[in-house]
Amino acid sequence: MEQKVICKNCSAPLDYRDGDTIAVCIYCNETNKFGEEKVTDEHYCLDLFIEQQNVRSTLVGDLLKIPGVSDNIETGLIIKNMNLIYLPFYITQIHGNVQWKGVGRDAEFSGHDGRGYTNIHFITKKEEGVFDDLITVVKYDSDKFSQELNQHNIAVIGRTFFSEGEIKNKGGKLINEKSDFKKAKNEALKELKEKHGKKLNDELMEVEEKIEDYKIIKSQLIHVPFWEVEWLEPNIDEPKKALIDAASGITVQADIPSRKLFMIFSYSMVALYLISSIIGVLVLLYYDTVLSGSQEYVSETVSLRENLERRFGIFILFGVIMASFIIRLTFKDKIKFSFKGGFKLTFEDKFREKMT
Amino acid sequence: MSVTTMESSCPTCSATSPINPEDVVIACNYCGTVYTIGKEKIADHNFYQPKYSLAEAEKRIYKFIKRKTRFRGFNSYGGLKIRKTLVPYWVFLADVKSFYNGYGKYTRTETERDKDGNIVSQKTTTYYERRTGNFEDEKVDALICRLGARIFGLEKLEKRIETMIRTKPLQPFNQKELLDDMDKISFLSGEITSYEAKEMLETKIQDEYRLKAENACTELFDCRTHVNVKNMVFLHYPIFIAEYTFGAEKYRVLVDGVSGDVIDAEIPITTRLRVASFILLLLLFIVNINYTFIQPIENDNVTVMMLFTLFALFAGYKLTNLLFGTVSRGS
Repeated sequence: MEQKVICKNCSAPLDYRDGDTIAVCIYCNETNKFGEEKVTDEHYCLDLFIEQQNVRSTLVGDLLKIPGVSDNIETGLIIKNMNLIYLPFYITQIHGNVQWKGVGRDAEFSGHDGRGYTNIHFITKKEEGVFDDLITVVKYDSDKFSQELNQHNIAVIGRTFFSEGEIKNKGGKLINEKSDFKKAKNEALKELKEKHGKKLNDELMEVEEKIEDYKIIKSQLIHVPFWEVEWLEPNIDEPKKALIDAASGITVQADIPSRKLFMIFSYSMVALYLISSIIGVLVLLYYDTVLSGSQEYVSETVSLRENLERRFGIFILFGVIMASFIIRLTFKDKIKFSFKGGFKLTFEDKFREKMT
Repeated sequence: MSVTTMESSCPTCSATSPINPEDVVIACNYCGTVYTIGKEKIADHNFYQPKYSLAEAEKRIYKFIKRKTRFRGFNSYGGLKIRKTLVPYWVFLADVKSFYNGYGKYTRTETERDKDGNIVSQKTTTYYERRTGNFEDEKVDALICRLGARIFGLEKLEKRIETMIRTKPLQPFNQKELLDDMDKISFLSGEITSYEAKEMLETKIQDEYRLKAENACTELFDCRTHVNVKNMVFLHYPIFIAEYTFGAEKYRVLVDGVSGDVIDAEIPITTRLRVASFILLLLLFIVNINYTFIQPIENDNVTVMMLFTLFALFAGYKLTNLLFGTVSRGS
């Protein structure tokens, strides 16, 4: 696809003919001179779907889904601070064609023992082929917040041309991208080259000839609006944080309100399963050591002992697996929403850092 | 001067529709004509007639939520917001020829026991074999025309569309059959051209077959996949995206507009359901204790034991999710 030539001031597409050296933007009247390098990249931002007055109800609506969270959040949650920020995402579409020739691997088999071949000999052979791929790379491009935002799904509709003035009018703060288009394109290029490198590695031991043709099809920078919220739960002074996608209205990340009773309950359930597993181990050891010398135990067939081990093994495993289910679901500090998996609880980044 | 909106005039009815700047395949909001940014009409524009109007869909979602939450102590359903949306897809019919060659390695262990059942010796042998595959498939694939963007339940929707295309013939687009006025429908335009879509599809299919080949072999030597796109059409697929509240909580629902089925929905886990799950979880625990510590062990049947364990783990997983999870999913 042909890339659009856009206005250097407002990013709107320019109407121009081949040979034109100047084009005036019909939207903002900026004069664009083509003697300089043409701007071919696209810069957008998304419309607000969640206005300031709806932030609290969105946050409360999501927090209340978490088990153990008290209902008084609905009346008592106080928004301490709320900022509209625009975070940068690059979307790059890249096409790559690689024609290759080289020496690949194959195998010969020998030593058939009636059931199958027991020996393998690797041989080489000449090979050639083509890889032709078009991929889309989405990258969150700021150090503010976790890099998990790389997996964030950008809202489907409501894209407008980027305008810093418009963002300021809405009271928004622009978070600048840390890389430029060139770097974003290079990263997309690197990703596709790595993919081709891996495939080539599968196919060839030695590359004799490689003709590469990579082309950026589309490159977009999108500033997505988010509400960065600091909130207080009833009777607790320590502020908590949340990040809400203002273009789609989903809570991307939020600290979980305190839920002491629920956590005591969860700890008890985990303890119940783990202690029962430990008892299972002790009883099994008891059978094995104390009773193993007794006439009754020895005189029974092997199957009795095997049955015992099986039964207790399963019981112990069951307890440990159940405890891990509960741990996976409850001992988390943050909630996160994804379009794919619905609502999820996740470990807080700091906690993860401590663990590693 | 700030720039926030763009408009495009339809080559059929000349009406102007607001468009997003990245749109390359535009759907006219008034007559439904689909055309490229260069004003070229896309002749093969198809759709499926939605089964319900917005009002009917609203009633159906209400019934679904009521049915799903009957035993959960559900009493404060409200605030249903529903949108009828036509999602743009490129749909392909393609012949795929794929070949792979590699080898596989596996081991076989032979155990020798004496008459009392004690192990006397064990021998493990490694075997090698050639693994090849030759596929000739006809594939129907649907690719959403939006870049890097998602909607709730999208993955399930794509599978649904691919099945639908195989079983129900596509209909040429007719705005009169949409059952609601165009201004009540969110009519999405496409961000991906036919060329880009075709290339993306080829990449997707080649990756899929290569992954299949890699999984089948210990080492893959060759994999070649050729995709021949026989036909591609532009499809607007109707869906209903809804949001409802339960108390102050918000939940989402996605409905397949053609069959009227709920594809994916978030369903509240009420306190009553959590208490019930807890009681069942305790019962499961007690049964397990009883079986392990109290029942006589002489006549254990391994098959029954394994089946019981699988059931207990499955039930335990489901109940734990209901007791400690945030929302449940249903369709």
